[in-house]
Amino acid sequence: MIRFLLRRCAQAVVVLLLVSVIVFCLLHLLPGGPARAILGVHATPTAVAAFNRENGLEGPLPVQYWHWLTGVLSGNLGFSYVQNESVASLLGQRLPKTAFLAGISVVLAVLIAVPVGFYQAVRRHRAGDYILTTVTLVLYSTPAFWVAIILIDVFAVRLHVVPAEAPQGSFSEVLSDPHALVLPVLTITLVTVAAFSRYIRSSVLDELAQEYVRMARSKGAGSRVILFGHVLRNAAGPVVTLLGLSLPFIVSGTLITEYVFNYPGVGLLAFNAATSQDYPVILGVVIVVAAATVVGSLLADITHAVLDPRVRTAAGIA
Amino acid sequence: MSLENVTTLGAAEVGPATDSQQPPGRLWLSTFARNRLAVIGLVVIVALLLFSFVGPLFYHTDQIHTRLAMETLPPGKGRPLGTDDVGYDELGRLMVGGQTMLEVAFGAAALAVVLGVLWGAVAGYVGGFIDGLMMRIVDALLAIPALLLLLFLATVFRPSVPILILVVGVTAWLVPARLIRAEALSLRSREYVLAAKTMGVRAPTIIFRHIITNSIGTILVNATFQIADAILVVAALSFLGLGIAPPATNWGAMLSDGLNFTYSGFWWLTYPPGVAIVLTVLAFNVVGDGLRDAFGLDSKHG
Amino acid sequence: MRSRLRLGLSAIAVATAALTAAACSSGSGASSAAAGKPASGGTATFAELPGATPNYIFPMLTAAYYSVTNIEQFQRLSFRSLYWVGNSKGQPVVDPSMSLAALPVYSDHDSVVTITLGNYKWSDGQPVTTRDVAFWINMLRANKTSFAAYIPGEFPDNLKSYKIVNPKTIVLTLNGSYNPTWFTNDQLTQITPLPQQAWDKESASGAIGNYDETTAGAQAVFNFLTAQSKNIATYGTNPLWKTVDGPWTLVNYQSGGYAKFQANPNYSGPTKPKLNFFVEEPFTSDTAELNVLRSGNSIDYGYVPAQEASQSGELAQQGYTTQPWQGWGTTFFLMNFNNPTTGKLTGQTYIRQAMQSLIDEPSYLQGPLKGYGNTNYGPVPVKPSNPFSDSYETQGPWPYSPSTAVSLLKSHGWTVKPNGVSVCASPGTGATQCGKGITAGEQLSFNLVYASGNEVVSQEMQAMKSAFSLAGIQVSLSAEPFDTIISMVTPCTPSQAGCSWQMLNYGGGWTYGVDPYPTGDQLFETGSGSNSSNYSDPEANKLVNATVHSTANLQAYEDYIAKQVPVLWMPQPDYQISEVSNKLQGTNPQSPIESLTPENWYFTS
Repeated sequence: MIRFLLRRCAQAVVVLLLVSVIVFCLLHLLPGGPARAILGVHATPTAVAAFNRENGLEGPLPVQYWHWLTGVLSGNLGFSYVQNESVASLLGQRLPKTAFLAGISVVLAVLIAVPVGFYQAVRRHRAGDYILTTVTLVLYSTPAFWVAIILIDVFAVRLHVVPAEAPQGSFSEVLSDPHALVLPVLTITLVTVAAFSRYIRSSVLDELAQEYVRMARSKGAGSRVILFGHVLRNAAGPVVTLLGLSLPFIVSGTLITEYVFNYPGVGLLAFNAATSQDYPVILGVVIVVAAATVVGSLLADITHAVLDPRVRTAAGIA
Repeated sequence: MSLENVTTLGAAEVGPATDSQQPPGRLWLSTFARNRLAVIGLVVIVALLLFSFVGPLFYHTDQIHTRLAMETLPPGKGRPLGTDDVGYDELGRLMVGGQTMLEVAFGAAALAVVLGVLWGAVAGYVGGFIDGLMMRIVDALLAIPALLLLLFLATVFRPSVPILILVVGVTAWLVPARLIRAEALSLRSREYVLAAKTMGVRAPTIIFRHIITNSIGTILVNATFQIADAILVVAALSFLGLGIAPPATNWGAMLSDGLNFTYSGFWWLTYPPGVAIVLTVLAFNVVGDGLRDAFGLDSKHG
Repeated sequence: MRSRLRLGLSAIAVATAALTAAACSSGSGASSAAAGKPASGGTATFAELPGATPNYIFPMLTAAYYSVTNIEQFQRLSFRSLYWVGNSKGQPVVDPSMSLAALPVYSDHDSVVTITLGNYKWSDGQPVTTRDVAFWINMLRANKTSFAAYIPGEFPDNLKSYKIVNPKTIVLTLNGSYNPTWFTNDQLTQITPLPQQAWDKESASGAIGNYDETTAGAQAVFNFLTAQSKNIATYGTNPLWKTVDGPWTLVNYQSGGYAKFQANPNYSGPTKPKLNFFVEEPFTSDTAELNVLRSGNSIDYGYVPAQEASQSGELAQQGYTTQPWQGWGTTFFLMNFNNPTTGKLTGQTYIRQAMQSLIDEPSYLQGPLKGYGNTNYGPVPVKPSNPFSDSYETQGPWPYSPSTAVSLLKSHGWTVKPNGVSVCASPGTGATQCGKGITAGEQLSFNLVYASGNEVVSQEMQAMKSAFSLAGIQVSLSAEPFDTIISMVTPCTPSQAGCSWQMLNYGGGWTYGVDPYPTGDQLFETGSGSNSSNYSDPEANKLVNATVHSTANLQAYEDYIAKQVPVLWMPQPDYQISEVSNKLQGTNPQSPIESLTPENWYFTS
């Protein structure tokens, strides 16, 4: 177990470093170089030179990388010249709101998807499975923004039960208007449930096909014992892995939802940054989310290993 | 965005769970044919392909010149699906949109599969430190949310069809890479591979002739899912305003333009492209599921 | 004169008799439903147009921030201009009752101007004095190239000297005689007195002094205030922006454009605010705004996008009144005369005239604009009806006529290829040849960037591209957000990276903001800070200069510019189709220069 832990942690560190290299490369991929891309086309050469000096963009690339990396690790995620605020400060304002929205949605999604996926697997090829599979499949195939707009049209505009727009302002103002969070949460939940339940269904199906289940069945153990005892425990592992790794997927879904509902979170921040060529902000969001994903997947893997010993000793891990 | 990539991440750590890597043979075709849902999916795909590419040969409309005087007309005589906001015939537009959509989707999926397969096969076959490094790079890229990366790339490179294929493909190759690596890992210890090695066959040949050929099932399944995902990604990008400029269009752009008129009740501007998207993605997913069953792969291998 | 860029949304009024009649009248909208009892207090929420969010608070600003949103709908709420444009009838004239000073008095053959301030106070209790006016003038003199409205030769260059007679009276001595109409309407209206007692410092912790009295000091103060203004996160908290003479103080600002103002109890103007708070809310798209409008009553003053104008009926049932908002301006899009590749093409008058002949304004008016707005073929606004626009300009010398376009091109040596790309067959500078700098085989091909998120503009541009192809003029379209395009719209020289744009359409035009006397110096005069096309024509300069000296010369200028097509004219849409909650009264008339005056608004119970 210890060897496994050490190995996984070492891998996570390597991945984090690679993420930083990738983001650094993206920064230098910008047309005209980072200075010109960030300051704008009208930047004078003196302004560009000053920018390069202030941001350690002079000298050989490895040196620049080191300078940038140490900056990031000490909390300097760059500065948005469009919004005239540090990226860290912008993220600090917005992250709690997105975390809140995504958090509720994911919890709901798991609470719905696990039983649904389970049911589908257990009742495979029966009416229940077909109906649920069809519903989740159609939901999965529908673009998230369309789902959101249909929800708005039905619940906000025609039925007037909830507002069409997410609450604005600071985090506390957001919390004070739970009514307006219903549709955004519903959108993300539906989209995530569609994806999760498919995954859980296949995962449980795989478990059910495993040797030990057939063995247990042939020995006459009651199917309920098999299911709830072994299968659930063994299928829980992949679910945890799923949660740990689906952060990028959830961020994507949240971005679209925040755009449609005008929710002032990280997703809308990233979108506005993209359309106003505010590269420091986009890259700052990328680093933070990527780092969170790596850490999240590490935690998920460790939990998975705790739940399922097969994982710890599996061969073929580099 | 797809969660298929998530499906396999745990798997690559667990290692190949079932020994299903036989040369496919003819068995998979008949298994597939018996899966009614998958066959229907395949028929739908072929129908949509014909509709988009062959349709315009039979149903001529002018998709270049606008006719503002005829904007947003409901379906009627001579215009089965009405007209859009600049007067283009909507049915004809659906065909043009389909062409772009399917071109980008197939192109991006092909790019993703080719890149991913090569990367994964090399990494799995070579093993050791190089494998570790290559896979950590994949992990790092997977940790970056695809939509954010796409937003970034779409603002740096003004999108056209080839750029879109490149951009979408570049964010999608990671999953096939992981999958094929897992295959390569299990295959490289097979007798025929070991025999080839001792006989002095060079690595690239082994990779192509044995590893990739014997993973064809996994590759096909994944490619199908890639196409489905690419369609959703293009739709999302078009909705966010990062798609291709007019008069080019795709179903995603048509849907999001149509949503401007939600309240005016111009249903023919939203439902046709929307349903087209849902149908296509559904069909590819169903076919993908069917292929996976036909090749006898479990969820960790597709 | 101050004019600024405006993002226009076309308007569609519900075609009921009363509303139609009202829409045709000068600038104001229909009166709202019968009012209930006025109540004091409350918060009114105003919906911002998508992509156009306020992002600059310091009134001396560069072209990159020079927009209606920033000036008329954000800064003016707190910092009043010396002379206010827009009277109680909604006409674009200076309104003394809303101005900080009485109308100026001209003497000595119109070369001396005496300005007497009224009794306004800053929110810190200090009176608004001529020292504050001088503060503005001093800063302007030292930093004029950083001010978007500056035109070489005009204010403050035409100011020989000024003298503060007493805290209420200031006398300006000009460098010659000027037409008082022009000078009052287009020069004096540029002035925004700034609180010298709070802003005349060079750093946040520095002491207040008279730094503005030296050039170096004035520059230092300007740099300090500009840097503060760029720090948008602090708009709601920075004490600098709390010293106001207007009826509203900004108390909360979120990046993204959300702004909340609180009523200033010390406002000395004629109408004290009755509301407690005024909020401006941003939206990612006009559909998103309409969703909110349709689903509840959280927006008091919103708009319906043109393409969904049929929703007015539904909104009426929900308790909203439709009020089309006409602005005093002209709509067009820009060609870059300094672009290294296409500058020589657009530099040819006949090519511009050919392009104008391919713009089918009546069709855009009827289709995307649904009939609301008016055709617009020149630099002087046609509506509300005024004595300045003449019939030549109103009818337009270049109406839609593809055959005219083709013959213009052919007669200048082009091989016209409809649905292809026309090429130059006879290069040279003769009367029947392509023109200077154009080589044989040169193509008539342009890139056009237009503002995204605006359905009307999208329709117009697609239709225009299609029409242009009839004469073989190839246009490649791409869409960018309004704010991005605005930042590109600044003058440039051919070698600069910022000069690579060929055609830009930010989806609006030019609001003759604070200049009811529509001379074109800011737009068309060589070297002007807002002449983003880099248009330079000595004849135009001559005519513009003449208008400055006499109103009689306006017609010659107007006809010349209409004929020369330095910018491609588009139909003038209404600024927006406002939808105002029946509970909110006092919103009429809507300002012709698109400014917001929430101090006139009140809720009824």
